[in-house]
Amino acid sequence: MKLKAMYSFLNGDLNRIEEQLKITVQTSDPLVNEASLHLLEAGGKRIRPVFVLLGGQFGTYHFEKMKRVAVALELIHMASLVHDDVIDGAMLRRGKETIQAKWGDRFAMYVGDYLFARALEQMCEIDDPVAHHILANTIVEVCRGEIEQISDKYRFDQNLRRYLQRIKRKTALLIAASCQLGAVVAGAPEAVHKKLYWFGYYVGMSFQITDDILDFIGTEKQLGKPAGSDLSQGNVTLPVLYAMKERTLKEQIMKVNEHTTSREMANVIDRIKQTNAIEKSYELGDRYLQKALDTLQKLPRNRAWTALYNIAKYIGKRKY
Amino acid sequence: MDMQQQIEQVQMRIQRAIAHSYVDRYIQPRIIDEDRVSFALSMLRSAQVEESIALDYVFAMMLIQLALDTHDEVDEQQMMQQKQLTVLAGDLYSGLYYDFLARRHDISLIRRFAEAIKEINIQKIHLQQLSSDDLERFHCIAVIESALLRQLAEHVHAHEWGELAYYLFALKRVRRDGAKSTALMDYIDHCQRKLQDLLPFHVHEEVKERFSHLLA
Repeated sequence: MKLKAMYSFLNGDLNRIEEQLKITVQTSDPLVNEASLHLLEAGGKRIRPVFVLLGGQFGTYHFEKMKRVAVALELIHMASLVHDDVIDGAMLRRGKETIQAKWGDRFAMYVGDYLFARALEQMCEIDDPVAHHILANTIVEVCRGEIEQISDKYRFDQNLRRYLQRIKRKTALLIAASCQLGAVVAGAPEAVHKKLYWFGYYVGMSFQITDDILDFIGTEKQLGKPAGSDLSQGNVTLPVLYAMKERTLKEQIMKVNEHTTSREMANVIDRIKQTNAIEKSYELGDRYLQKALDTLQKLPRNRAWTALYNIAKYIGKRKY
Repeated sequence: MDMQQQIEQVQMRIQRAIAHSYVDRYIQPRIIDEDRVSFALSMLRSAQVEESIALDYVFAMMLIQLALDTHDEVDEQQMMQQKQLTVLAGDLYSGLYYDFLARRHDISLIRRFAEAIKEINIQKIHLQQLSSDDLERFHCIAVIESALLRQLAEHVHAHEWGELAYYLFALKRVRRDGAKSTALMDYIDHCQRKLQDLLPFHVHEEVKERFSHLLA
Protein backbone atom coordinates (compact mmCIF):
# COMPACT_ATOMS: atom_id res chain seq x y z
CA MET A 1 0.00 0.00 0.00
CA LYS A 2 1.29 3.47 -0.86
CA LEU A 3 1.76 5.95 1.97
CA LYS A 4 -0.90 8.37 0.73
CA ALA A 5 -3.49 5.62 0.45
CA MET A 6 -3.18 5.02 4.20
CA TYR A 7 -4.87 8.30 5.01
CA SER A 8 -6.93 8.93 1.89
CA PHE A 9 -9.89 9.97 4.06
CA LEU A 10 -7.86 13.10 4.87
CA ASN A 11 -7.34 14.08 1.22
CA GLY A 12 -9.93 16.88 1.26
CA ASP A 13 -8.47 18.45 4.39
CA LEU A 14 -4.90 18.03 3.16
CA ASN A 15 -5.80 19.84 -0.07
CA ARG A 16 -7.28 22.69 1.96
CA ILE A 17 -4.10 22.82 4.04
CA GLU A 18 -2.06 23.03 0.84
CA GLU A 19 -4.19 25.97 -0.24
CA GLN A 20 -3.80 27.61 3.16
CA LEU A 21 -0.02 27.21 2.96
CA LYS A 22 -0.02 29.09 -0.34
CA ILE A 23 -2.25 31.84 1.05
CA THR A 24 -0.24 32.17 4.27
CA VAL A 25 3.13 32.77 2.63
CA GLN A 26 1.81 35.46 0.28
CA THR A 27 3.00 39.00 0.84
CA SER A 28 3.41 42.31 -0.96
CA ASP A 29 6.99 41.59 -2.06
CA PRO A 30 7.04 39.55 -5.30
CA LEU A 31 10.46 38.05 -4.57
CA VAL A 32 9.37 36.77 -1.15
CA ASN A 33 6.35 35.21 -2.86
CA GLU A 34 8.50 33.64 -5.54
CA ALA A 35 10.87 32.13 -2.99
CA SER A 36 8.05 30.85 -0.78
CA LEU A 37 6.17 29.29 -3.69
CA HIS A 38 9.43 27.82 -4.97
CA LEU A 39 9.65 25.97 -1.66
CA LEU A 40 6.01 24.93 -1.56
CA GLU A 41 6.07 23.65 -5.12
CA ALA A 42 9.10 21.49 -4.35
CA GLY A 43 6.53 19.37 -2.55
CA GLY A 44 7.35 17.01 0.25
CA LYS A 45 5.30 14.39 2.01
CA ARG A 46 3.55 16.89 4.34
CA ILE A 47 3.88 14.18 6.95
CA ARG A 48 3.67 16.64 9.83
CA PRO A 49 0.24 17.97 8.77
CA VAL A 50 -0.86 14.36 8.31
CA PHE A 51 0.16 13.53 11.89
CA VAL A 52 -1.60 16.66 13.18
CA LEU A 53 -4.84 15.72 11.43
CA LEU A 54 -4.62 12.11 12.59
CA GLY A 55 -3.91 13.21 16.16
CA GLY A 56 -6.92 15.50 15.97
CA GLN A 57 -9.17 12.53 15.26
CA PHE A 58 -8.67 11.40 18.87
CA GLY A 59 -10.55 14.43 20.14
CA THR A 60 -13.17 16.83 18.81
CA TYR A 61 -11.87 17.38 15.30
CA HIS A 62 -12.40 20.98 14.31
CA PHE A 63 -10.80 21.53 10.91
CA GLU A 64 -10.17 25.28 11.25
CA LYS A 65 -8.10 24.66 14.37
CA MET A 66 -6.32 21.64 12.88
CA LYS A 67 -5.49 23.69 9.82
CA ARG A 68 -3.72 26.39 11.84
CA VAL A 69 -1.54 23.88 13.68
CA ALA A 70 -0.80 21.84 10.56
CA VAL A 71 0.18 24.92 8.57
CA ALA A 72 2.31 26.23 11.44
CA LEU A 73 4.21 22.95 11.74
CA GLU A 74 4.79 22.64 8.01
CA LEU A 75 6.04 26.25 7.82
CA ILE A 76 8.40 25.68 10.74
CA HIS A 77 9.67 22.58 8.96
CA MET A 78 10.11 24.55 5.73
CA ALA A 79 11.92 27.37 7.54
CA SER A 80 14.30 24.87 9.09
CA LEU A 81 14.96 23.28 5.68
CA VAL A 82 15.87 26.69 4.20
CA HIS A 83 18.31 27.32 7.05
CA ASP A 84 19.61 23.73 6.91
CA ASP A 85 20.51 24.24 3.26
CA VAL A 86 22.63 27.24 4.28
CA ILE A 87 24.24 25.09 6.99
CA ASP A 88 24.99 22.27 4.55
CA GLY A 89 25.79 24.50 1.58
CA ALA A 90 23.24 22.39 -0.33
CA MET A 91 22.57 23.32 -3.96
CA LEU A 92 19.61 21.04 -4.59
CA ARG A 93 16.63 19.86 -2.58
CA ARG A 94 14.13 17.43 -4.07
CA GLY A 95 15.75 18.07 -7.42
CA LYS A 96 15.17 21.83 -7.29
CA GLU A 97 17.66 24.61 -6.62
CA THR A 98 17.77 25.57 -2.95
CA ILE A 99 16.91 29.12 -1.88
CA GLN A 100 20.51 29.83 -0.92
CA ALA A 101 21.84 28.44 -4.22
CA LYS A 102 19.41 30.62 -6.17
CA TRP A 103 19.45 33.83 -4.13
CA GLY A 104 22.35 33.56 -1.65
CA ASP A 105 22.85 32.85 2.06
CA ARG A 106 21.57 36.13 3.46
CA PHE A 107 18.38 35.94 1.41
CA ALA A 108 17.80 32.38 2.62
CA MET A 109 18.18 33.51 6.22
CA TYR A 110 15.50 36.17 5.73
CA VAL A 111 13.12 33.78 3.99
CA GLY A 112 13.55 31.24 6.79
CA ASP A 113 12.86 33.87 9.44
CA TYR A 114 9.89 35.14 7.47
CA LEU A 115 8.38 31.64 7.30
CA PHE A 116 9.00 31.13 11.01
CA ALA A 117 7.09 34.35 11.75
CA ARG A 118 4.25 33.26 9.48
CA ALA A 119 4.13 29.94 11.33
CA LEU A 120 3.83 31.67 14.70
CA GLU A 121 1.08 33.92 13.35
CA GLN A 122 -0.90 30.84 12.37
CA MET A 123 -0.23 29.20 15.69
CA CYS A 124 -1.39 32.31 17.54
CA GLU A 125 -4.89 31.61 16.24
CA ILE A 126 -4.84 28.79 18.78
CA ASP A 127 -5.57 30.09 22.23
CA ASP A 128 -4.18 27.15 24.14
CA PRO A 129 -1.10 27.67 26.33
CA VAL A 130 -0.36 23.93 26.44
CA ALA A 131 -0.15 23.77 22.65
CA HIS A 132 2.21 26.76 22.54
CA HIS A 133 4.33 25.34 25.31
CA ILE A 134 4.73 22.02 23.47
CA LEU A 135 5.62 23.66 20.17
CA ALA A 136 8.00 26.23 21.67
CA ASN A 137 9.83 23.61 23.67
CA THR A 138 10.12 21.42 20.57
CA ILE A 139 11.61 24.26 18.52
CA VAL A 140 14.24 25.00 21.18
CA GLU A 141 15.15 21.33 21.54
CA VAL A 142 15.41 20.83 17.77
CA CYS A 143 17.83 23.80 17.57
CA ARG A 144 19.91 22.43 20.41
CA GLY A 145 19.94 19.07 18.60
CA GLU A 146 21.26 20.67 15.43
CA ILE A 147 24.01 22.42 17.37
CA GLU A 148 24.89 19.08 18.98
CA GLN A 149 25.10 17.48 15.56
CA ILE A 150 27.75 19.99 14.55
CA SER A 151 29.67 19.71 17.80
CA ASP A 152 29.64 15.88 17.50
CA LYS A 153 31.07 15.81 13.98
CA TYR A 154 34.09 13.49 13.68
CA ARG A 155 33.74 12.71 17.39
CA PHE A 156 34.16 8.98 17.37
CA ASP A 157 34.28 8.65 21.14
CA GLN A 158 30.54 9.27 21.55
CA ASN A 159 28.29 6.59 22.96
CA LEU A 160 24.92 5.19 21.94
CA ARG A 161 23.08 7.39 24.42
CA ARG A 162 24.49 10.53 22.83
CA TYR A 163 23.45 9.32 19.37
CA LEU A 164 19.91 8.55 20.55
CA GLN A 165 19.60 11.94 22.22
CA ARG A 166 20.73 13.61 19.01
CA ILE A 167 18.26 11.83 16.72
CA LYS A 168 15.51 12.45 19.25
CA ARG A 169 16.08 16.17 18.93
CA LYS A 170 16.82 16.07 15.23
CA THR A 171 13.80 14.05 14.08
CA ALA A 172 11.65 12.39 16.70
CA LEU A 173 10.55 15.45 18.67
CA LEU A 174 8.87 17.24 15.77
CA ILE A 175 6.96 14.11 14.76
CA ALA A 176 5.99 13.52 18.40
CA ALA A 177 4.84 17.14 18.71
CA SER A 178 2.83 16.88 15.46
CA CYS A 179 0.91 13.83 16.72
CA GLN A 180 0.39 15.35 20.16
CA LEU A 181 -0.56 18.87 19.05
CA GLY A 182 -3.41 17.66 16.87
CA ALA A 183 -4.89 15.86 19.86
CA VAL A 184 -4.24 18.75 22.28
CA VAL A 185 -5.98 21.25 20.03
CA ALA A 186 -8.86 18.81 19.54
CA GLY A 187 -9.26 18.77 23.31
CA ALA A 188 -8.32 15.10 23.73
CA PRO A 189 -7.66 13.98 27.32
CA GLU A 190 -4.07 14.29 28.56
CA ALA A 191 -3.71 10.51 28.75
CA VAL A 192 -4.50 10.32 25.04
CA HIS A 193 -2.33 13.18 23.77
CA LYS A 194 0.63 11.98 25.81
CA LYS A 195 0.34 8.52 24.26
CA LEU A 196 0.25 10.12 20.83
CA TYR A 197 3.41 12.00 21.76
CA TRP A 198 5.14 8.70 22.61
CA PHE A 199 3.83 7.06 19.47
CA GLY A 200 5.30 9.91 17.38
CA TYR A 201 8.53 9.81 19.33
CA TYR A 202 9.06 6.08 18.77
CA VAL A 203 8.09 6.31 15.10
CA GLY A 204 10.49 9.24 14.68
CA MET A 205 13.35 7.35 16.31
CA SER A 206 12.69 4.33 14.11
CA PHE A 207 12.43 6.56 11.04
CA GLN A 208 15.80 8.23 11.69
CA ILE A 209 17.57 4.95 12.44
CA THR A 210 16.25 3.57 9.14
CA ASP A 211 17.46 6.75 7.43
CA ASP A 212 20.91 6.25 8.93
CA ILE A 213 20.99 2.63 7.77
CA LEU A 214 19.83 3.51 4.26
CA ASP A 215 22.69 5.98 4.03
CA PHE A 216 24.99 2.92 3.97
CA ILE A 217 22.97 0.40 2.00
CA GLY A 218 21.03 2.64 -0.40
CA THR A 219 22.23 3.39 -3.92
CA GLU A 220 23.23 6.88 -5.00
CA LYS A 221 20.11 6.97 -7.18
CA GLN A 222 17.81 6.06 -4.29
CA LEU A 223 19.49 8.41 -1.84
CA GLY A 224 20.10 11.35 -4.14
CA LYS A 225 23.65 11.49 -2.70
CA PRO A 226 26.59 9.09 -2.53
CA ALA A 227 26.23 6.20 -0.09
CA GLY A 228 28.05 6.82 3.19
CA SER A 229 27.64 10.60 2.93
CA ASP A 230 26.81 10.88 6.62
CA LEU A 231 30.12 9.39 7.67
CA SER A 232 32.09 11.40 5.08
CA GLN A 233 30.58 14.53 6.61
CA GLY A 234 31.57 13.40 10.08
CA ASN A 235 28.12 12.32 11.28
CA VAL A 236 28.58 9.34 13.55
CA THR A 237 25.40 7.29 13.12
CA LEU A 238 24.18 4.01 14.60
CA PRO A 239 25.78 1.62 12.06
CA VAL A 240 29.13 3.34 12.66
CA LEU A 241 28.80 3.03 16.43
CA TYR A 242 28.07 -0.70 16.13
CA ALA A 243 30.81 -1.24 13.56
CA MET A 244 33.31 0.36 15.92
CA LYS A 245 32.92 -2.60 18.27
CA GLU A 246 35.38 -4.31 15.93
CA ARG A 247 38.80 -3.08 16.99
CA THR A 248 40.61 -2.90 13.64
CA LEU A 249 37.66 -1.29 11.95
CA LYS A 250 37.37 1.18 14.80
CA GLU A 251 40.92 2.31 14.16
CA GLN A 252 40.15 2.78 10.48
CA ILE A 253 36.91 4.67 11.14
CA MET A 254 38.61 6.96 13.64
CA LYS A 255 40.94 8.14 10.90
CA VAL A 256 38.03 9.49 8.80
CA ASN A 257 38.16 13.26 8.43
CA GLU A 258 37.34 16.05 5.97
CA HIS A 259 40.28 15.01 3.78
CA THR A 260 39.46 11.31 3.50
CA THR A 261 39.30 10.42 -0.21
CA SER A 262 36.21 8.82 -1.76
CA ARG A 263 38.21 5.66 -2.41
CA GLU A 264 39.23 5.38 1.23
CA MET A 265 35.62 6.07 2.23
CA ALA A 266 34.31 3.36 -0.09
CA ASN A 267 36.62 0.88 1.66
CA VAL A 268 35.44 1.94 5.12
CA ILE A 269 31.79 1.67 4.05
CA ASP A 270 32.35 -1.79 2.58
CA ARG A 271 33.94 -2.95 5.80
CA ILE A 272 31.09 -1.53 7.88
CA LYS A 273 28.60 -3.38 5.70
CA GLN A 274 30.50 -6.63 6.23
CA THR A 275 29.99 -6.45 10.00
CA ASN A 276 26.70 -7.08 11.78
CA ALA A 277 26.28 -3.29 12.28
CA ILE A 278 23.44 -2.94 9.76
CA GLU A 279 21.60 -5.91 11.21
CA LYS A 280 21.98 -4.63 14.76
CA SER A 281 20.84 -1.17 13.70
CA TYR A 282 17.73 -2.67 12.12
CA GLU A 283 17.10 -4.54 15.37
CA LEU A 284 17.15 -1.31 17.36
CA GLY A 285 14.98 0.46 14.77
CA ASP A 286 12.50 -2.43 15.00
CA ARG A 287 12.46 -2.17 18.78
CA TYR A 288 11.42 1.46 18.54
CA LEU A 289 8.82 0.55 15.95
CA GLN A 290 7.43 -2.15 18.23
CA LYS A 291 7.23 0.37 21.06
CA ALA A 292 5.25 2.67 18.76
CA LEU A 293 2.85 -0.14 17.93
CA ASP A 294 2.56 -1.10 21.62
CA THR A 295 1.70 2.51 22.48
CA LEU A 296 -0.90 2.53 19.76
CA GLN A 297 -2.60 -0.50 21.35
CA LYS A 298 -3.46 1.68 24.34
CA LEU A 299 -5.32 4.21 22.19
CA PRO A 300 -8.97 4.01 21.15
CA ARG A 301 -9.58 2.44 17.74
CA ASN A 302 -10.80 4.63 14.93
CA ARG A 303 -9.80 5.20 11.31
CA ALA A 304 -6.93 7.44 12.42
CA TRP A 305 -5.67 4.58 14.58
CA THR A 306 -5.57 2.29 11.54
CA ALA A 307 -3.80 4.98 9.51
CA LEU A 308 -1.17 5.48 12.24
CA TYR A 309 -0.67 1.73 12.47
CA ASN A 310 -0.14 1.44 8.71
CA ILE A 311 2.17 4.48 8.60
CA ALA A 312 4.30 3.02 11.39
CA LYS A 313 4.54 -0.30 9.55
CA TYR A 314 5.38 1.50 6.31
CA ILE A 315 8.16 3.48 7.96
CA GLY A 316 9.62 0.27 9.34
CA LYS A 317 9.72 -1.38 5.94
CA ARG A 318 10.76 1.54 3.77
CA LYS A 319 13.72 0.97 1.49
CA TYR A 320 14.53 4.58 0.58
CA MET B 1 15.31 49.63 40.43
CA ASP B 2 16.61 52.63 38.54
CA MET B 3 16.92 52.60 34.77
CA GLN B 4 20.59 51.57 34.73
CA GLN B 5 19.91 48.64 37.05
CA GLN B 6 17.02 47.55 34.87
CA ILE B 7 19.18 47.70 31.75
CA GLU B 8 21.84 45.65 33.46
CA GLN B 9 19.31 43.10 34.61
CA VAL B 10 17.93 42.64 31.09
CA GLN B 11 21.45 42.27 29.72
CA MET B 12 22.37 39.74 32.39
CA ARG B 13 19.23 37.68 31.82
CA ILE B 14 19.87 37.59 28.09
CA GLN B 15 23.51 36.61 28.47
CA ARG B 16 22.46 33.81 30.80
CA ALA B 17 19.71 32.62 28.45
CA ILE B 18 21.87 32.51 25.32
CA ALA B 19 25.06 31.14 26.91
CA HIS B 20 26.18 28.00 25.10
CA SER B 21 29.65 26.64 25.68
CA TYR B 22 30.09 25.30 22.16
CA VAL B 23 28.44 28.10 20.17
CA ASP B 24 30.31 30.75 22.18
CA ARG B 25 33.62 29.32 21.01
CA TYR B 26 32.80 30.05 17.39
CA ILE B 27 30.74 33.21 17.26
CA GLN B 28 31.57 36.65 18.60
CA PRO B 29 29.95 37.68 21.89
CA ARG B 30 26.51 39.13 21.20
CA ILE B 31 26.08 42.86 21.67
CA ILE B 32 22.86 43.89 23.37
CA ASP B 33 21.85 47.34 22.16
CA GLU B 34 21.56 49.40 25.33
CA ASP B 35 19.72 52.23 23.50
CA ARG B 36 16.99 49.86 22.48
CA VAL B 37 16.66 48.39 25.97
CA SER B 38 16.58 51.82 27.55
CA PHE B 39 14.03 53.15 25.03
CA ALA B 40 11.74 50.14 25.58
CA LEU B 41 11.98 50.40 29.35
CA SER B 42 11.16 54.13 29.25
CA MET B 43 8.20 53.46 27.01
CA LEU B 44 6.87 50.73 29.29
CA ARG B 45 7.35 52.92 32.34
CA SER B 46 5.45 55.69 30.59
CA ALA B 47 2.65 53.20 29.81
CA GLN B 48 2.65 52.30 33.51
CA VAL B 49 3.52 48.67 32.91
CA GLU B 50 4.54 46.91 36.11
CA GLU B 51 8.33 46.64 36.42
CA SER B 52 8.60 42.84 36.42
CA ILE B 53 6.34 42.59 33.35
CA ALA B 54 8.29 45.35 31.59
CA LEU B 55 11.53 43.47 32.21
CA ASP B 56 9.99 40.30 30.75
CA TYR B 57 8.75 42.13 27.65
CA VAL B 58 12.11 43.75 26.99
CA PHE B 59 13.91 40.46 27.61
CA ALA B 60 11.73 38.72 24.98
CA MET B 61 12.04 41.59 22.51
CA MET B 62 15.82 41.70 22.80
CA LEU B 63 16.09 37.93 22.27
CA ILE B 64 14.37 38.46 18.92
CA GLN B 65 16.58 41.43 18.12
CA LEU B 66 19.64 39.27 18.79
CA ALA B 67 18.23 36.47 16.64
CA LEU B 68 17.70 38.85 13.73
CA ASP B 69 21.06 40.58 14.19
CA THR B 70 22.80 37.20 14.36
CA HIS B 71 21.23 36.09 11.08
CA ASP B 72 22.38 39.37 9.50
CA GLU B 73 25.94 38.16 10.06
CA VAL B 74 25.52 35.05 7.90
CA ASP B 75 27.33 35.36 4.60
CA GLU B 76 29.30 33.46 2.00
CA GLN B 77 32.64 34.67 3.38
CA GLN B 78 32.29 32.95 6.76
CA MET B 79 34.17 29.76 7.57
CA MET B 80 31.81 26.78 7.35
CA GLN B 81 31.56 25.94 11.04
CA GLN B 82 31.20 29.57 12.03
CA LYS B 83 28.46 30.05 9.46
CA GLN B 84 26.61 26.93 10.61
CA LEU B 85 26.67 28.03 14.21
CA THR B 86 25.65 31.59 13.34
CA VAL B 87 22.56 30.22 11.61
CA LEU B 88 21.71 27.91 14.49
CA ALA B 89 22.40 30.47 17.22
CA GLY B 90 19.92 32.85 15.59
CA ASP B 91 17.36 30.06 15.32
CA LEU B 92 17.90 29.16 18.95
CA TYR B 93 17.38 32.75 20.14
CA SER B 94 14.11 32.91 18.15
CA GLY B 95 13.00 29.67 19.76
CA LEU B 96 13.89 31.00 23.20
CA TYR B 97 11.72 34.08 22.73
CA TYR B 98 8.76 31.93 21.75
CA ASP B 99 9.41 29.49 24.59
CA PHE B 100 9.65 32.32 27.11
CA LEU B 101 6.40 34.01 26.08
CA ALA B 102 4.62 30.64 25.75
CA ARG B 103 5.57 29.93 29.37
CA ARG B 104 4.06 33.31 30.28
CA HIS B 105 0.93 32.35 28.31
CA ASP B 106 1.33 35.64 26.47
CA ILE B 107 -0.06 34.65 23.09
CA SER B 108 -1.00 38.18 22.09
CA LEU B 109 2.59 39.38 22.47
CA ILE B 110 3.88 36.33 20.56
CA ARG B 111 1.55 37.43 17.76
CA ARG B 112 2.74 41.05 17.93
CA PHE B 113 6.39 40.06 17.74
CA ALA B 114 5.72 37.52 14.97
CA GLU B 115 4.12 40.33 12.98
CA ALA B 116 7.26 42.43 13.53
CA ILE B 117 9.61 39.59 12.50
CA LYS B 118 7.58 39.09 9.34
CA GLU B 119 7.63 42.80 8.50
CA ILE B 120 11.35 43.15 9.20
CA ASN B 121 12.32 40.24 6.98
CA ILE B 122 10.11 41.38 4.11
CA GLN B 123 11.80 44.79 4.32
CA LYS B 124 15.27 43.24 4.50
CA ILE B 125 14.56 41.31 1.30
CA HIS B 126 13.04 44.37 -0.31
CA LEU B 127 16.04 46.48 0.69
CA GLN B 128 18.39 44.06 -1.06
CA GLN B 129 16.56 44.73 -4.31
CA LEU B 130 16.72 48.53 -4.14
CA SER B 131 19.45 50.60 -5.70
CA SER B 132 21.62 52.71 -3.40
CA ASP B 133 19.91 55.94 -4.47
CA ASP B 134 16.34 54.70 -4.09
CA LEU B 135 14.56 56.80 -1.48
CA GLU B 136 12.40 53.85 -0.49
CA ARG B 137 15.49 52.48 1.26
CA PHE B 138 14.89 54.85 4.15
CA HIS B 139 11.45 53.49 4.86
CA CYS B 140 12.81 49.92 4.72
CA ILE B 141 15.55 50.84 7.19
CA ALA B 142 13.11 52.57 9.52
CA VAL B 143 10.83 49.51 9.56
CA ILE B 144 13.74 47.11 10.08
CA GLU B 145 15.02 49.16 13.00
CA SER B 146 11.73 49.93 14.69
CA ALA B 147 9.15 47.20 13.99
CA LEU B 148 9.72 45.32 17.25
CA LEU B 149 9.51 48.49 19.33
CA ARG B 150 6.45 49.64 17.40
CA GLN B 151 4.66 46.37 18.02
CA LEU B 152 5.54 46.54 21.70
CA ALA B 153 4.25 50.13 21.78
CA GLU B 154 0.95 48.98 20.25
CA HIS B 155 0.74 46.15 22.76
CA VAL B 156 0.85 48.58 25.68
CA HIS B 157 -1.19 51.26 23.88
CA ALA B 158 1.73 53.69 23.71
CA HIS B 159 1.20 54.50 20.03
CA GLU B 160 3.14 57.75 19.99
CA TRP B 161 6.23 55.90 21.19
CA GLY B 162 5.99 53.69 18.11
CA GLU B 163 6.27 56.70 15.86
CA LEU B 164 9.14 58.00 17.93
CA ALA B 165 10.95 54.66 17.55
CA TYR B 166 10.43 54.75 13.78
CA TYR B 167 12.36 58.01 13.35
CA LEU B 168 14.80 57.63 16.20
CA PHE B 169 16.16 54.22 15.27
CA ALA B 170 16.15 55.00 11.55
CA LEU B 171 18.23 58.06 12.33
CA LYS B 172 20.58 56.04 14.51
CA ARG B 173 21.11 53.48 11.76
CA VAL B 174 21.67 55.91 8.88
CA ARG B 175 24.06 57.96 11.02
CA ARG B 176 25.96 54.79 11.91
CA ASP B 177 26.14 53.79 8.25
CA GLY B 178 27.58 57.22 7.43
CA ALA B 179 25.79 60.12 5.76
CA LYS B 180 27.12 60.84 2.29
CA SER B 181 24.46 61.59 -0.33
CA THR B 182 22.19 64.62 -0.50
CA ALA B 183 19.17 62.33 -0.24
CA LEU B 184 20.54 60.86 2.95
CA MET B 185 21.28 64.28 4.42
CA ASP B 186 17.71 65.32 3.55
CA TYR B 187 16.37 62.21 5.23
CA ILE B 188 18.40 62.88 8.37
CA ASP B 189 17.04 66.39 8.40
CA HIS B 190 13.50 65.05 7.98
CA CYS B 191 13.90 62.60 10.87
CA GLN B 192 15.38 65.28 13.12
CA ARG B 193 12.47 67.63 12.43
CA LYS B 194 9.97 64.87 13.11
CA LEU B 195 11.71 64.01 16.35
CA GLN B 196 11.77 67.62 17.46
CA ASP B 197 8.00 67.63 16.96
CA LEU B 198 7.50 64.36 18.78
CA LEU B 199 9.94 64.57 21.66
CA PRO B 200 8.38 67.50 23.55
CA PHE B 201 5.27 65.41 24.12
CA HIS B 202 7.32 62.96 26.12
CA VAL B 203 8.82 64.18 29.33
CA HIS B 204 11.41 61.48 29.48
CA GLU B 205 14.67 63.21 30.05
CA GLU B 206 16.52 59.89 29.99
CA VAL B 207 15.43 59.26 26.42
CA LYS B 208 16.19 62.81 25.30
CA GLU B 209 19.58 62.69 26.94
CA ARG B 210 20.51 59.29 25.58
CA PHE B 211 19.64 60.24 22.02
CA SER B 212 20.60 63.93 22.11
CA HIS B 213 23.70 63.32 19.97
CA LEU B 214 21.46 62.16 17.13
CA LEU B 215 19.53 65.38 17.12
CA ALA B 216 22.55 67.62 17.04
